[in-house]
Amino acid sequence: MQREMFACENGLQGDPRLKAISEAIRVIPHFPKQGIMFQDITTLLLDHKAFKDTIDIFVDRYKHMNISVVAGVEARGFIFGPPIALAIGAKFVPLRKPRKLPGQVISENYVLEYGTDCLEMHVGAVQPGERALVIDDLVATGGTLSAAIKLLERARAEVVECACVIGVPEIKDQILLGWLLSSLSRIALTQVVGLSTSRAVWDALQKHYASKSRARIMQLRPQTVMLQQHPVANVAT
Amino acid sequence: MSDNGKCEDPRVHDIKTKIRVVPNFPKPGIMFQDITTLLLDPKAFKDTVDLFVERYKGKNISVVAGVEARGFIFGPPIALAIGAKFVPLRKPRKLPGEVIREEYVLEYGTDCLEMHIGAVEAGERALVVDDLIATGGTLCAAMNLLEHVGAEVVECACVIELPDLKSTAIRTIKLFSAGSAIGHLSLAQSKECVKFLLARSYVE
Repeated sequence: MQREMFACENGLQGDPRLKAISEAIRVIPHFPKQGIMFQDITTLLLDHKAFKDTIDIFVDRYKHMNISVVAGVEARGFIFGPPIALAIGAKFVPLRKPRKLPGQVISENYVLEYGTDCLEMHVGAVQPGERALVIDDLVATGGTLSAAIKLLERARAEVVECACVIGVPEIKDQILLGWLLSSLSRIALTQVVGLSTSRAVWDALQKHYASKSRARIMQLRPQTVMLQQHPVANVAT
Repeated sequence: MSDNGKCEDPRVHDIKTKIRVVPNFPKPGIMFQDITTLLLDPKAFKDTVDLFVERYKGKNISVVAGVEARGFIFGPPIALAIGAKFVPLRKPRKLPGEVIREEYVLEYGTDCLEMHIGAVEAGERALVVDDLIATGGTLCAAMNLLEHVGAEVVECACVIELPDLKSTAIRTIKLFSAGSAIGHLSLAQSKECVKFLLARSYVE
């Protein structure tokens, strides 16, 4: 399922505000665990101008799209969502971890690397037919955003777009990976089980089939040398 | 209920009516003050933010610290409007990088608030924002964090005050172990050094 995603750099090539925004985000290695390069937006929030510019960029894009709902994913979506909602005249709907919202809720489970998690939204917060925006600070696998979209669609709202300050490169790779895998035969798929990047898949396929291809070429070459044209028979003139 | 000696701002009435009470949440006997219904009304939400902005603009406040998670909803719009930075105060292990921690007492057990080292500098004037003040425990932890790095907490701003705040605060003083938190609460009682601004939108 393809969803339009708006990462800061898309369609904004050369916007003078982007450089400062990008530089204001700091990377913390190995948080929350080894191997993860954590994109920390708190340093962006310390720079008033850069924070304001971030909000303005989103507001400029969405203010004429007739959006009546801004849904923010707990907790960093709560930081960016409300200023956008206030500026475009929309309501703000918090999407929360389980058991945080009082009153009646609908829940949507989603898959994590290990295990599952769950997002909740208040019943009655969103009306059928409303046009909605989903906000989070960052999109990685898209799992959380997919759950957010499902919640809004279950309430029969239309999700116009998902807006994130940071688009982690892995998401583009995940899309590419999905295309690669869907183009493979069953036999080829067995060679790439468990691989999680498109590069890894490509390398595995190349390694596996290149050796066979080389062998096949060696087989065919002498045969082509030996080929002779048979006498042509019964050619009509 | 705190009275600033003026007539109630006409916007406050609508704000009050937008807050809903959910009985017995998160546990029996608690009447939960739910601000999410306020957020569904763009005008009332805007009015809430405006009330705070009007009070704090031009007071040379450079830091708005919001308490996770509902302080994240009200704090940033205020920070953006008054030209201040926004500093999230979070539950343990959420903030990456180096943090300082402040423990505080709950009814049963303790909890903890964290702030990034380097987010706030000595001498900065700060505002603490949360949706609601009950015992004041969380806000005191927030104030301690900011004062620990040498900032001056100008005020704590909350949308809702629970009516029995003062009596609960006195109880809380006795429960806290010796430390600056006690001093702050008692200062608040006697000298009003830390003032709590309320939009007076609690619901009976």
